[in-house]
Amino acid sequence: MFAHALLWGLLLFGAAFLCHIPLWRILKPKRQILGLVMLFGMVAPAVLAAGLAQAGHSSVEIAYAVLLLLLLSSSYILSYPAMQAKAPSLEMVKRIAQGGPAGITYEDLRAHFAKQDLISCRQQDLLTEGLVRQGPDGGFHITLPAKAVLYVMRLLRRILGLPEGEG
Amino acid sequence: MEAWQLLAGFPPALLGVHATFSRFFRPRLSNQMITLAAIGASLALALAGELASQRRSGALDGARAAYVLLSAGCAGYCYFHFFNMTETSRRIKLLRMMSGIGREEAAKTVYDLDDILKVRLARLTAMKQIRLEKGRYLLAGRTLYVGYAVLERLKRILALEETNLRS
Repeated sequence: MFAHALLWGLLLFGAAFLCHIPLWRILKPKRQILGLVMLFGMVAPAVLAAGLAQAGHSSVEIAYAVLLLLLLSSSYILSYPAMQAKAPSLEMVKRIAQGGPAGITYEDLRAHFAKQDLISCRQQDLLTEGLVRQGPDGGFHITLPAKAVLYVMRLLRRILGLPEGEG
Repeated sequence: MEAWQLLAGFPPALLGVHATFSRFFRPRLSNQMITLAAIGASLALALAGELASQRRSGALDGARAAYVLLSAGCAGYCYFHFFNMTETSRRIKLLRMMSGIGREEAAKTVYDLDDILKVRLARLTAMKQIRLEKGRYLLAGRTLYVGYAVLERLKRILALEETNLRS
């Protein structure tokens, strides 16, 4: 049973990824995270469940295969923001690596990062993904899903005994 | 014990181990190192539980052990990314600022380029990915650099370069 769940979960994740490449290269959805959730979190599990049911697999086996697919998909979706937006920490590591054995100075690093680039694009991402809306006064207001995310994150850090993250 | 019972117990166990490690190891280790250690320990616990369960039932099933380990590994990977978002994400920092939580402190950190860079340099140093020698930053570990290279490759496959230029 688990051999089938492993095999089909991995195969469907691979198939969803193969669909993801041309879809993104050609269409590149505006709300990319939502697009990923639909492709990896809804379409692929539905196809997997329907296919396994058609082939006569038990409901338990189907559930295990879908669970694995969802976990693999979640792992990919959570990695995606680091790809979508240039993460400053990774960019710093790259710049420092490019410095070779001589390394680079703080001033070199600072010169590389343009201040408005680090903020304005992230604001735009929040608007595009529907986590923030801009009011008629021009001010930003966070939406209900964003409030829920913030609540869970604050709760997690409280459980861990940590102050708010430094960003 | 069924595989789903082991997997259902994994997230609360991971949270408990992380909360314990966080209180025990801070501030000697960075939050990222503590989180990785907690995930590693929880995975070892899950594997031990799986093997003990199989031994009790008297039937060894390698596919089931692989399934449990892969699924728990994905859950641990998701948890690491989620925790990292509470710690390092500019988007989350912006959301916090917009929602008025720690508004002044958040606004200062988010909008000040030197703070953005210094917080990350300190974090990368604590993670032993870079080191400071005679006023120059040098690469000290390869983990994040490899991660960066993998993400860059994926960006090229998905044709995300254009998106990145705006960051």
